Amino acid sequence: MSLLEIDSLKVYYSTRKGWVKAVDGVSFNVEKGEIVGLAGESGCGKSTMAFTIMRLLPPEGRIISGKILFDGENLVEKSEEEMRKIRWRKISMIFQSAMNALNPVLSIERQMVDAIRAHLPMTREEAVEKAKRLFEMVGLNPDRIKEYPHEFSGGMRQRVMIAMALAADPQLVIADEPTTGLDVITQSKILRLMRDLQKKLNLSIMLITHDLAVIAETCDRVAIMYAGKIVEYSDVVTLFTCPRHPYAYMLISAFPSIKSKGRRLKEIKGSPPGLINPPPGCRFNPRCPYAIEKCRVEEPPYIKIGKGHFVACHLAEKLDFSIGGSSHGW
Amino acid sequence: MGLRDFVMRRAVESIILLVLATTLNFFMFRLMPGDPFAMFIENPNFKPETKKMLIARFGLDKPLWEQFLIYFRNMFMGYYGISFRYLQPVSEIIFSVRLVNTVVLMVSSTILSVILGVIFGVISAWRRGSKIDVGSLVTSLVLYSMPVFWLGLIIILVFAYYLGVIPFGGTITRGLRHANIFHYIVDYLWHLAPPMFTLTLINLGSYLLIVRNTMLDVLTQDYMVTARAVGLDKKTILFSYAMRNAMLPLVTIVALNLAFVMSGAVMTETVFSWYGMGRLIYSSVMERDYPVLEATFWFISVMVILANFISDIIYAYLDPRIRY
Amino acid sequence: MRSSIYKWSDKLQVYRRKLREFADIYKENKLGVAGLIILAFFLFMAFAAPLIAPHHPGELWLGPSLHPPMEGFPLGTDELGRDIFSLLVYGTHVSLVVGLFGAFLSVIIGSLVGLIAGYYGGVIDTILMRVTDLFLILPGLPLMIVLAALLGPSIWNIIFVIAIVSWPSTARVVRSQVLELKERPFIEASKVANSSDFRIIFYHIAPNVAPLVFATAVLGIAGAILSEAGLSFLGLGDPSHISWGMMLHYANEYGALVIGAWWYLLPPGICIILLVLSFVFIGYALDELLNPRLRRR
Repeated sequence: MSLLEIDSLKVYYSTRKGWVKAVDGVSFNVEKGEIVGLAGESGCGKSTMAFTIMRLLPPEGRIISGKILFDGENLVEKSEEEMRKIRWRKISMIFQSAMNALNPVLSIERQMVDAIRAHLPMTREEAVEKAKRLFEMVGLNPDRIKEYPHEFSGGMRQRVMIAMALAADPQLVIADEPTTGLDVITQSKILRLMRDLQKKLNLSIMLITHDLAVIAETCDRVAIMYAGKIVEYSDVVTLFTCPRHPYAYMLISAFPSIKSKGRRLKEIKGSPPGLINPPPGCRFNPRCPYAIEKCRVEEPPYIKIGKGHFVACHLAEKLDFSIGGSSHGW
Repeated sequence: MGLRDFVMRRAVESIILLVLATTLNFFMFRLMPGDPFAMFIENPNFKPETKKMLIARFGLDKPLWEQFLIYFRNMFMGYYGISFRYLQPVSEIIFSVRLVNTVVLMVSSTILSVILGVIFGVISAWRRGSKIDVGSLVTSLVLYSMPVFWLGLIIILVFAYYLGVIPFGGTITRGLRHANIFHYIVDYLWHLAPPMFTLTLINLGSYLLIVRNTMLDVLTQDYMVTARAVGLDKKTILFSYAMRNAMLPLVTIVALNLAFVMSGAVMTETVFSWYGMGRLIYSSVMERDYPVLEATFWFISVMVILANFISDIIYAYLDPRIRY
Repeated sequence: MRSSIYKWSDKLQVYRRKLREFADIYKENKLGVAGLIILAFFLFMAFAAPLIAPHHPGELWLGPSLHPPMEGFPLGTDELGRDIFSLLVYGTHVSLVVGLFGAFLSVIIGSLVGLIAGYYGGVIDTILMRVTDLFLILPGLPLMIVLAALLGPSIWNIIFVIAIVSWPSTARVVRSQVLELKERPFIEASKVANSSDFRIIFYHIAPNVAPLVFATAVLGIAGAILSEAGLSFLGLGDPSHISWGMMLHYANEYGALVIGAWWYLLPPGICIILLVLSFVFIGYALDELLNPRLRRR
């Protein structure tokens, strides 16, 4: 049984102009001890996924249908009080901007101790000890727990966030753009820290990002999201060596490579569709250079194309994006 | 920036404000149509010696810039001339029971307004859109739109004229011999209640609205989402995580509101004949007692500037972002 | 590079389109609509005064002094035997005129100060801001009392005094907006294109500051009406124009409290509350509309 199983999840936001279909029928899994990446452009629904799993949607957000099975239990059906016990203790989160995510007028120690004691039966002194150990684990000076968030630099604040996320010994950590906004060196350090911690504590991580390089470096499996749907889902090596969905392929190709000589950056023309009235058929069809008539009319089915490899594209079997494959160049 | 630097900076700013306020005061009263002399000494009740003494103390026969400097010295040394009406040194009139009465009125009503404002402001924000929220909002808006003096008049009409449960005004019952100090205090408090209550109601609205807005702002911050994500219980979230942030600006707001409370006090004291500085402003205008008017106004300005300075220091002490 | 959105002529066109949208959203704000209705009522009362009011404020001794409501006098009489209902109707004039002009003048002064201080920065900014701070810190009513006493009782003096005391809050708001806008690229572009400072301030910055100022201004009208009422109550108003505040002044002077003349005390106060509320509601609705942060999140 998978640790986390998302099954045909639909999450819409109610707005004045209609329903925004942020997540429209998404399915994927996270197994114990693996790092799964969720990648896509801004506004494709990845953050919504994160908040939905934690059941932290704002009042306008509704889970329309689908299941979120964590350790076999459906989180969609849980009451607020039941979720409160699950949050942080079973599933925790690393937020995108630590400066905003941490309370500026409370010390880190206070916030971590609160997090620990909300779920684990410990005295205050024991909780403080644990907080210090967590600080050491993330590479920070344990004496600094008494300080305030604004006294830490950007990269160190992310470490603080990671320490916070581990406070109640969770099984699954959802990392929402954990390295966005950091310089590359710090980024690489944070990622390495996350990988080390994952191995040490046998954590499962769901890593949300728009940066494919981060995915390549850190994840075991990856799901590519576009306009509220998953277009391709496979292990990392397969995705980067022979993707099947045009969007996935174009994303990978859009990144500059040190090796390619003077090659023009390939961009994907156009922009993602609005999610209130997405285009009929395959949502990517307006921007897809490989689109055929069927793509504009019929939504592609989400099918299994290989071992642990799923794609949603009418042309999945015909396109060959592997190295030396026939479908290159657009 | 550090606490010490902050205090230094605010101290310098306050001094500048004090200088500006005194300057404004000086020129404002010299604007009076007619003779600047009239401001201080043209009073038929003054004896010639008194007039001579005043001319000397204020340097009224010297050039303007010299008068300005002398004025500064006099103001800060507490010498304000002689009252036209009472024929006493103005300082005796101001630094008397009047000052105490006004401070008591302002402090007590501010404390009550803040407490009620915080309670209802927080409840309103926490339960946004509920009946309590809407009720609080409407009440605050109506109170804000109400003239202070009218509220006072109506309170007197209803509770003094029709119900007879409060006095018509004053600080103590005139002519009453009090048995002991306790009796005196009770009488005083009984007289304090209506004006205090009036002033509280008038300012309540603005505190409630500000607390509500600050709370709403805080509740939409990312760290509140984190607090929920961490699985903290509602009580902790509300009191330790939300209110701690929302209460900080309150210190500044109380300071900013001091001007309004003072204005309200002027009206309230007038309507309830409360023997304080506010009423003094009104009566000195009516009686054309310019020395008293000028001095009272100056003193009120200084009080407010200092109070702002102190509250800024308190705020800096409480907000860890400034402390370190 | 032409940032055409920020010029007055183009801005007006955008405004027209947005006005439609705006009106639709505004209609949903119950308070805002209520405010407009109440305001319309008072405007009608002001313009149609000669038609609605049975008597003119100058007509004395129409009835006994300080008499409760009776035949021909729906709200009774004042100490000079005048019809209180007529006084009430005519009193609308002063409140509206002083309120609107006072707030208007205050906003003009405040905006100018804010624009100049924000745009030029440096020494000018420091000086202007210190002066602004001073007026913000000083208690408004005492200052108004002193100035009104010194200048004399006349409607224009009252308007002037109100404006002098209330411009700082607008100045603050405008200045912070200007500071924010100053950093935007289109300002830099205008400078590079050698636009004069005057042009930049009034053609580029001002139109963007205007919406924010508008909401503040509406609340300023409310404050101005209350100030006028207060000053009149204290006896500093213009005796040649009856106003609600003055009615209360005379009521208090001539012993309305002592004899329980509720017909004299209640109506002017209620009118003040309603008129001020209408502007507060409208201002509140505008603020909610223009400040997206406070909308449902």
